[in-house]
Amino acid sequence: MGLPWYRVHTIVLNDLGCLLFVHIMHTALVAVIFYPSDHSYEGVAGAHILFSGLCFLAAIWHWVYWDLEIFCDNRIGKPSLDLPKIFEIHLFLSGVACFGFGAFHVIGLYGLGIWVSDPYGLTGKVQPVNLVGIASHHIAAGTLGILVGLFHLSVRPPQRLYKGLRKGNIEIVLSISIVVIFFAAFVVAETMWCGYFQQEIYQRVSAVLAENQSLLEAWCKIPEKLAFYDYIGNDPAKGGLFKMGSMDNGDGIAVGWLGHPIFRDKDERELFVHQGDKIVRADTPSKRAESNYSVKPVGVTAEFYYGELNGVSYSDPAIVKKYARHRATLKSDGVFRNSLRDWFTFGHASFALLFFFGHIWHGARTLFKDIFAGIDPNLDAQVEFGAF
Amino acid sequence: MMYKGSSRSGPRQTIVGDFLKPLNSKYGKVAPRWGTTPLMGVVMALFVMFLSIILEIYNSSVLLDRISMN
Repeated sequence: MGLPWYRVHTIVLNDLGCLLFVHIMHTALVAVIFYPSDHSYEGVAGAHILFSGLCFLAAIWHWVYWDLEIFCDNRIGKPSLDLPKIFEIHLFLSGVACFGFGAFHVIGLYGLGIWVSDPYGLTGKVQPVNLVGIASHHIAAGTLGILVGLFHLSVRPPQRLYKGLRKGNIEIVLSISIVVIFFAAFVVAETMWCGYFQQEIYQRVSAVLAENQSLLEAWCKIPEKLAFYDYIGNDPAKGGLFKMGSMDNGDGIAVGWLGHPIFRDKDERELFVHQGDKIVRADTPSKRAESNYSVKPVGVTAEFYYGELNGVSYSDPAIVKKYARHRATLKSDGVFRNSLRDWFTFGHASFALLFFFGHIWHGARTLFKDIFAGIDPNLDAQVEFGAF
Repeated sequence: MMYKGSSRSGPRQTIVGDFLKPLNSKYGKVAPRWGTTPLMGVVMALFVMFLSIILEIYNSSVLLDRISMN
């Protein structure tokens, strides 16, 4: 009776040469497929392809020469892997690489620098970056990795933790590795969902105004891509899951940008569309009795900067109200449909949830393996069950 | 592994393997009882405090004189 289909890859655990082979092969494929598209320099692309080829050859070698003395435990005559030691070695090497990346590659001491642009990847080029944020993080994290790696090199795990976390069982390593994946996926999904685009826009405008340039010049400098991300129609919270329909004239495809509207009341105070705990100066009332702040008596006007309506000003309440609803500035028919922020968030959040489930699955399998197999859960003897 | 009548003398030895063998020789070795777990607890607590500090600086919940979030 063969293995069920969902367990067929477990056979690599019995053959350490094979185990090593599949991991190196995966690295080879990732290097050749994923990375070259990230770089614009042919040399870097070529280096990744070369690296991939070498990984491929190494993988084959390890598959052929599976029975290596280094994997054999002399005490029992069977293969074994010292997992805590493997962790320590990888942590130390990662620390060295991380530090080296920060101190040399990013800063440009020995390297090209990195692709630098703004937080939203809108404009930029490859250049050395000096000690701010990215470089200093890698130097700090790398140093920490080296020091902690050296600590784990000299100290073995305590028996309580080794037994409690099943550190002899490779499936616990899988479970923890999965954590890293879903953590990163949740972070990017959350960032794209909530976004900080409006904050970024206002920061940029303020920075330009602080240099005593005009509002028009400030708004000229906002990249259209950033404005588009900020556009409420692209917010994943707006729009239905199944509103796939015609994207022409819908909120899905922007036809043009009318410009950034600035609303002012009759005292020339600048007003903003409601964003939480600010003072209410104008609104659209639902009852006549609440009409103190209605747009007409407050005298709200809208003036546009940049875009197609640059310089145009409106005071008619109906028109002002129309433009206070963000979606009007992108010439749409008012139906929220799916957007790029939408799909990014949906995809990454879905995979993050799947991987979270996977973490719990493999963690539970490892921690409860003995119980699943019928071993007395109260057994406290010095027995290590299910190491492989 | 040895099979009857086989001419193999055991798993393959390589130069790199001989160098690395000490790194894969201590399977199952542990420090007694709780070992350095309390130290790990302290380091974890410090790390959590560090992350909270840098988060709150970035979030402007902690304001420092020479650091501005603009």
